[in-house]
Amino acid sequence: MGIQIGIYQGRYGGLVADISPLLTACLFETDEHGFSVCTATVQMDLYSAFGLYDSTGVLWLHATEFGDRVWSGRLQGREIVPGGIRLQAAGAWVYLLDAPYTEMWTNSSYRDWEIMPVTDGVDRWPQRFEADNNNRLFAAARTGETYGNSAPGSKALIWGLPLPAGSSRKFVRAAFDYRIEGIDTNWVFGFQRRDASGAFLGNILLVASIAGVVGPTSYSATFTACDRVAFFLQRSAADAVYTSATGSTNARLTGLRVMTTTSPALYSDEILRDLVAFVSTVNPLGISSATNQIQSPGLDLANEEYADALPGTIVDRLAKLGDSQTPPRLWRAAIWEDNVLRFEPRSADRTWFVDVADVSVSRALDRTVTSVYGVYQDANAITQRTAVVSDAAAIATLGIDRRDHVSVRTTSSAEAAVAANALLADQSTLDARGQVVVRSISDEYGATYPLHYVRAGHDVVIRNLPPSLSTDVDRIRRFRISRTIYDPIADLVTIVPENATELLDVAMLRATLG
Amino acid sequence: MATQPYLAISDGLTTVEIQSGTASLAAYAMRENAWAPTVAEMLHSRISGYGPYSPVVETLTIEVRGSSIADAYAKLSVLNGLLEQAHRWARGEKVAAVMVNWSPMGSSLSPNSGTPYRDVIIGVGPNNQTSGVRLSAEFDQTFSDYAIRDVTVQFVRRNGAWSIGSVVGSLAAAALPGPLAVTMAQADPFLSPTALQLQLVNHYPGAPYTLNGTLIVAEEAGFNIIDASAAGIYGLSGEWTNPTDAANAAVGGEVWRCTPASTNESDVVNWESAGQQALANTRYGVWAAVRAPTAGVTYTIRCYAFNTIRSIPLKTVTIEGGSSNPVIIYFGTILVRGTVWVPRFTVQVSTLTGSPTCDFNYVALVPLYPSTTVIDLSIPMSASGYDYINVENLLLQRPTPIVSLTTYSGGLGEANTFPVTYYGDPIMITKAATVRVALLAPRANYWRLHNGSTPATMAVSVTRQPMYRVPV
Repeated sequence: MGIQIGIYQGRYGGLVADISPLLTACLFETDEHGFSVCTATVQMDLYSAFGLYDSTGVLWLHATEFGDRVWSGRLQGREIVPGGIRLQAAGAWVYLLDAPYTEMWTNSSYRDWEIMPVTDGVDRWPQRFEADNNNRLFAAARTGETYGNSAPGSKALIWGLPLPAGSSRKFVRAAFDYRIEGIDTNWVFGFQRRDASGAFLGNILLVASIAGVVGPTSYSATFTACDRVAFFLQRSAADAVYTSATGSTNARLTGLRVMTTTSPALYSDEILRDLVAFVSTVNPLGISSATNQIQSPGLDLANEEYADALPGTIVDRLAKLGDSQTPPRLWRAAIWEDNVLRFEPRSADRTWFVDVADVSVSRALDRTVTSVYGVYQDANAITQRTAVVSDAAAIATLGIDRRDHVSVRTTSSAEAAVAANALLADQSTLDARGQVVVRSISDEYGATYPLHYVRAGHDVVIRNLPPSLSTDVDRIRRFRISRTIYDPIADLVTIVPENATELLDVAMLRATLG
Repeated sequence: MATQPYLAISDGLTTVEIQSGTASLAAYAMRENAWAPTVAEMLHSRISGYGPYSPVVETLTIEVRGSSIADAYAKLSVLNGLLEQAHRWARGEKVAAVMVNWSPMGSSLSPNSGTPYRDVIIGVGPNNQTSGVRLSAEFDQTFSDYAIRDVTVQFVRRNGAWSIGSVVGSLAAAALPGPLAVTMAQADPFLSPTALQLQLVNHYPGAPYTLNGTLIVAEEAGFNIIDASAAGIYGLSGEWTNPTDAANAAVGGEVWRCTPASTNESDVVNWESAGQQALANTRYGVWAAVRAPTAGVTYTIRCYAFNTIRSIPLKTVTIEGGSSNPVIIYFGTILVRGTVWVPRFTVQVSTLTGSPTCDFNYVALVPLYPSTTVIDLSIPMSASGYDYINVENLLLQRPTPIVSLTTYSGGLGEANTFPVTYYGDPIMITKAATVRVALLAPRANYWRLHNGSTPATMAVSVTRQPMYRVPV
């Protein structure tokens, strides 16, 4: 009839100890990532306490009632305290923080391209060319230099982009616009596959006998996997001094994007499926390898390259990008009792109705935003700002325009605009700050449920507030939960509204933990 | 009927009598009007391991009497030792439980000291920094009559209620999964600790296996298992069919099978039967026996609470297909006022490669009251003869509950008793004249326990220790 709390040998392993009747303090928390933290103090004799303290392998804490998994997570900390042991557990999301992830997915940044140096091989002669990667890849012949294909090999300028070391994915697609100008038919431009060391593997695109202007021409295609892609410009005839004006023979690439996926667009769900496979391979008994709960935001991502990044951080970032809808919806990622990563638009999974005796909420304008612009760096590392997007209704309601910005790690103005719209959608309504302590919940039919049913991501409607209160302006009567703290011993749940301030979170956590 | 009250603290070997049950004075005499038992409130905590009532603090003032000064000191030491032992027991140390035994004057259920009400002591009250024994300032001034006066004794009774006697009920071996209705010798007025022993018959297939299943104990008649042969179930569209599956010992002989026509969410099957009328205005849990056999397919199974005009999503469950072995899945709870809401299911598959199917054999609808117990079991059956599963409700004998497997009908304390892995609260609390027990446990490709040639059966024995908050 109660919540049984047991320590188990792994997620699916045998029962080590049923600590339920020995608990003197216990808190179960949920947040945007699912089950977040559990702290439990267990009354035990010293032998038993050290037995638990010294258990090898991964221990899990499961709390179960009537088949419902009230809380579940991996034991992260054990501390011997007077009269027993204090345990700290973290929800399955913690598996996304266990091992860093390095992969290239797509790159649209000119800054990342580098001129392959002479020391890398015999086929490069970069010092004889004019070149830049300012908002383009550019190479041009310079007056007075000698160009040609005599020994020790053809002399070329090569722009190359390698995969980050440790990336298992390979380049398989590229798209770009190229414009080439040549003084005679002895000049050649190409797009190549190369290996990790820079050695030539094969040409993907070859434009020979350039005379006059070629392009601009769009290129978009897949090719055989490789570790490095490169563009080159060279003279394919015998060595000769270039006497024409500098720049009169040149190659210029814009709209450049290379990918490690074959489809022309990259959506978050494809990355997330790979992350799930990565995490479930590193720790096979961690999260489920199932990806059926990952939805696609339909937002094409231009720059996704991860070097030693924690999967949890990556997932969070992808969720914050929103989706392709107008205005974009906010997304969330969480792992609950089924151990499956869920990636989906935020919505109210359930709505609970509560009557509260003590309400501690306040409102302030300083978190409210009525117009937003995005800040990003373009391909030349120049800081850019998107156009301002506004919520006219919110401005009219509040009587002022509170403008904010959102910094986005992208070179795409479209992505920055999406983030700005997402922030506006989320914060153009006045925040309610505070917390609500609840001792009873019911659904829309008045049916009462156990308090541990309330989780982050659910909506709460407070029924016994004054009816004159506007529900549209202020998220007091109805709000979405960002965090819950359930005390099964006192049988009460503390609910924190979405968008509460960090300061409030800290204060509440300290107050709750005593 | 007792004409004199009896009150004692005892671990079974050492007893401190505070009221003797006779007119004579006990060695530990209670001061007149120095104690009244605390009547417990309902338990606020939702943590398992306790009964339905809060632990209570008892405080009484006594006089410790001896035949000499040394004897008085010795008696004081015995009392102190028992209270310390109670604290140690509660911390899990290997010492005997310490009981408070009480036979109030005029009680019909406890007429004498031989049949006392009992509760277990788990230590001293909050903020009490003594052993449970506090001496007065007169301690060293009253030795002319070898009595230590005004000794305050404080302890916590674990269950907040008094237990007395036991009530049993049993049922001969019957078909699984149940529910099997066990008739008790009597109904009791209050929720009381209940122990259970299950005897499995014809379950061992001649080779080791792991019994993974869900044990459900409930009192209410609405506890029902509806198999696929029930008349009221209907699936919409041709994606749902109702074939027989006797080869796998399907309960009722049939399954409802979903053969998805696309990778979208399938049409629904509504799991209705006449028995669900008893569940109106009741919060009940939904369990289902499901088989997702197609390899390489990820199944997304959704459950909804449905009435004529609305459908409310419950849990979404993911199964990686590829096993012909059924599994028991918990799909959440339904509690909707008014008309009966029924579970409905849909299936979504990740691919149509392999022509995936998904079968449902039965659905358990379980009213979730305080008297309901749900335990998920994982028991390695490594040899024949381990036929008894014991769910011991030991609110009076052990600080923590235990679920075990034995070869012996006597249960705990006997040879060949093995604690097993469980999830869920094993503290069973019942009071009704009928206790219903079900074991939802497929084995290998069978929908229920099966030894390979015969479906297993199960005998049930229930023992309840009636509890009272005030004496009768």
